[in-house]
Amino acid sequence: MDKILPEFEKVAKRQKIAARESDKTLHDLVAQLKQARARLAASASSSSSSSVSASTAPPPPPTQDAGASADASSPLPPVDIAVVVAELQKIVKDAMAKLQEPHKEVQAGLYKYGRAIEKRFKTDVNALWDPDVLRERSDLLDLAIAQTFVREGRFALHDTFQREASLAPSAADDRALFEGLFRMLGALKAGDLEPAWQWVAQHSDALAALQSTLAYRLVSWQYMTLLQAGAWEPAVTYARQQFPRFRDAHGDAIQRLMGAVLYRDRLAQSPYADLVGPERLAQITETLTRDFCRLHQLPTESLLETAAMVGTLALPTLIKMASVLKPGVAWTQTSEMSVELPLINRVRYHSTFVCPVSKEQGTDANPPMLLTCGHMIARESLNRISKGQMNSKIKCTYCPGETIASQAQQLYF
Amino acid sequence: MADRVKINTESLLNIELPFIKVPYEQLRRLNKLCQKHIERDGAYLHTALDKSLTPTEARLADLDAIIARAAGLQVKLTDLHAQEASYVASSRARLDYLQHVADMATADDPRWREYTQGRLVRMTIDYLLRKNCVAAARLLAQETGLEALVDLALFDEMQRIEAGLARGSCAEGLQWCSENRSALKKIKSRLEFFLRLQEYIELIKQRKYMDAHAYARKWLVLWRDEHMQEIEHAMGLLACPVATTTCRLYQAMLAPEQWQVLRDEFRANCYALHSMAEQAPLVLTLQAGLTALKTPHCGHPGDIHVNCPVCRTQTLGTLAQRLPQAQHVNSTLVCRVTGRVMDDNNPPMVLPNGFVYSRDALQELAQNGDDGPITCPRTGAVFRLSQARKVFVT
Repeated sequence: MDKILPEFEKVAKRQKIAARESDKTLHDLVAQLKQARARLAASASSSSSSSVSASTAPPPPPTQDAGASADASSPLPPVDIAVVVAELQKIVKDAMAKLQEPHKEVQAGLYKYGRAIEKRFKTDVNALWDPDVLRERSDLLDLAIAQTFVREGRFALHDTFQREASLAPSAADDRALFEGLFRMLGALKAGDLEPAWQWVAQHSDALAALQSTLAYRLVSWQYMTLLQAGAWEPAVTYARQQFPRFRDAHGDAIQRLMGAVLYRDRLAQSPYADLVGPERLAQITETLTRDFCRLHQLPTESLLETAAMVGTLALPTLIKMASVLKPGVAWTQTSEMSVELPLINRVRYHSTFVCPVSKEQGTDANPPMLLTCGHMIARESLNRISKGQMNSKIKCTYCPGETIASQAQQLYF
Repeated sequence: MADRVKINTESLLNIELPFIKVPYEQLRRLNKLCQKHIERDGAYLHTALDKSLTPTEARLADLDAIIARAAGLQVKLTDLHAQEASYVASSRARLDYLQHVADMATADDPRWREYTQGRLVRMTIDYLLRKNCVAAARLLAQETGLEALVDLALFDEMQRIEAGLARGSCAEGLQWCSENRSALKKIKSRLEFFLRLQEYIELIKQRKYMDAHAYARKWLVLWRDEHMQEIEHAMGLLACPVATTTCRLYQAMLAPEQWQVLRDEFRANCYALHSMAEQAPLVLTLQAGLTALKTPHCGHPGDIHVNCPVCRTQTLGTLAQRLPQAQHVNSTLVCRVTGRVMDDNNPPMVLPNGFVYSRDALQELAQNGDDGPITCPRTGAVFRLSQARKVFVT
């Protein structure tokens, strides 16, 4: 980037200059042409009145300012057209040269900038793409995108996309559900907690089973809102009514909330400022969204976003791999990747067991087995080591511990 | 449990070439266009001056036309410069955007999430544009405020030219070729020849044989080195009965489907010119992501995870069917209760029935304190906490 940016800044600067200068050059040129026209017009009218053609007129007297004299009502002495033309030709020629120059500068700058770009960015991703993966399946990707729009609350966008891509109307079953969620969120943003309260009340049992903190968060926000409005007595009354049921789970936090009463006049400048800040509201929004999705057994994260994030992380490895692959061999045509792609723990949704002996991943047919020492190996590896003798003693590959093959226990992650 | 996975930012930025290249190529095209206008109008002014201002008579009307032309050039250049300025601005926005993430090192950097989310929006807009879902693309760009980072204008331009081709006009396409001549030459484009060939074929279709012949002599012969065979085939058309020919080759040349072929060729050229991938980067990225996530357990009843894209058989999971599964060198165990990866701080524990959970999970499940009964969430079997044994992950 360090090599590109200066080249770009040069282009940007020169472009500005070119725009400014050419505007001025052309402005001047038009003015000069108009001036010449005025002179000629004046000369023509005076020459036609004296019925002498311009060319035969005597040479003009020492030049006057043409613009000023054009305005004068008195006829002017005739002008030598050949001289005017020669003058104009020169003016035009100079103007064009003056116009070209800054543009050539921009061009030279662009050339260098282009070279810098090509030096910095140079991967051709076409080699990585396997056209077979999506063949006749692009409708599924469209559906995934449409569902993402719905879960982000972009309903108008969803409808536009559905129309433009002629998607089947059943594309988003969850739409009504999410419309309900975004009505609650919209109200919350506008300071109206009522729709959220109604929803919490409707689903109180299910939310309790999920150990949801939503009700507590709503209560504390309501309390802080009352406090902030200056009504500290109603706030405390409200707190007395509502807080006791959250005491077990949120005791410390409630103490702090009550402490905020001391600063009720100047909460924003107090140590309790975070309790009324926008981050709090963002947390409530997040909790509501999360619990809503959990309750309806919908993904709490956007699947498209997860797949795209993991894919972006994996691309450099794929690029490197593709550079050593034989041309024409698609990396997608194997059953298991030949290199390990990076993966962050947050998006590991399934346990992967890799047998330390065979280096194969565990499957239903070849599950992980626990040795008495606490180490694991795959069943096939166990059978190989014990030569199929269920009563034979085998030594762990990791520690000195010995296990009788029949005592190894199948594990379920 | 920090995700200190390293990011190869250097290599990631490498694939952002089209991101920078699109506004760059537009700047180049506009700069050329400025110069061309100056040259053309300059030449016009010279000859017009010579002609109109004959020494015998000053024809003021002609001079008026000259002044109008100069003023017209000013208007044209002002417009082009304004367009240039917008591409300078979007170039700057894009360079700043990349500069902002250029020193990311690990995936727990908050910029990583920001970058990948932004990248998904950019890729989605690109995907929509490639599908001609322009209104949706525009709306998404507006709602996310990423207009300067996506190529709405480029696709508008492409649509304009393709609309010309759809109604049987090569003029827009030919103009595009002339505006991008040097860049097209660099990618060995054959588009201009095909456009000229089509104009020639249209003359044949109208049975204007003399015109067609003249057209071929003027334009087609320019490509005799590269396309002699096509030119010969084209000349053969002069002798063929347009309506009744049974020759497959001529039928194909005369077929209306040729216009679709031209549209595809134009698209491919436009993508190549801007170093854009032939296929949507969204698809490539999802391919990579689904592969990295895919395990033998994905989609199995009982193993389905609601947040796992590969488990979602309704959409992404089905796409993942044609992809390989990820390779893993080490075991990574994820607790079914907490959903988190088990490690030394929170090791896996096995119950007597062989089911494994994290220690934190078992302590949470243990009712009535330290050795309370534990109900295995998957089998319903009941054990005591002290019956759980530690498992070593290797």
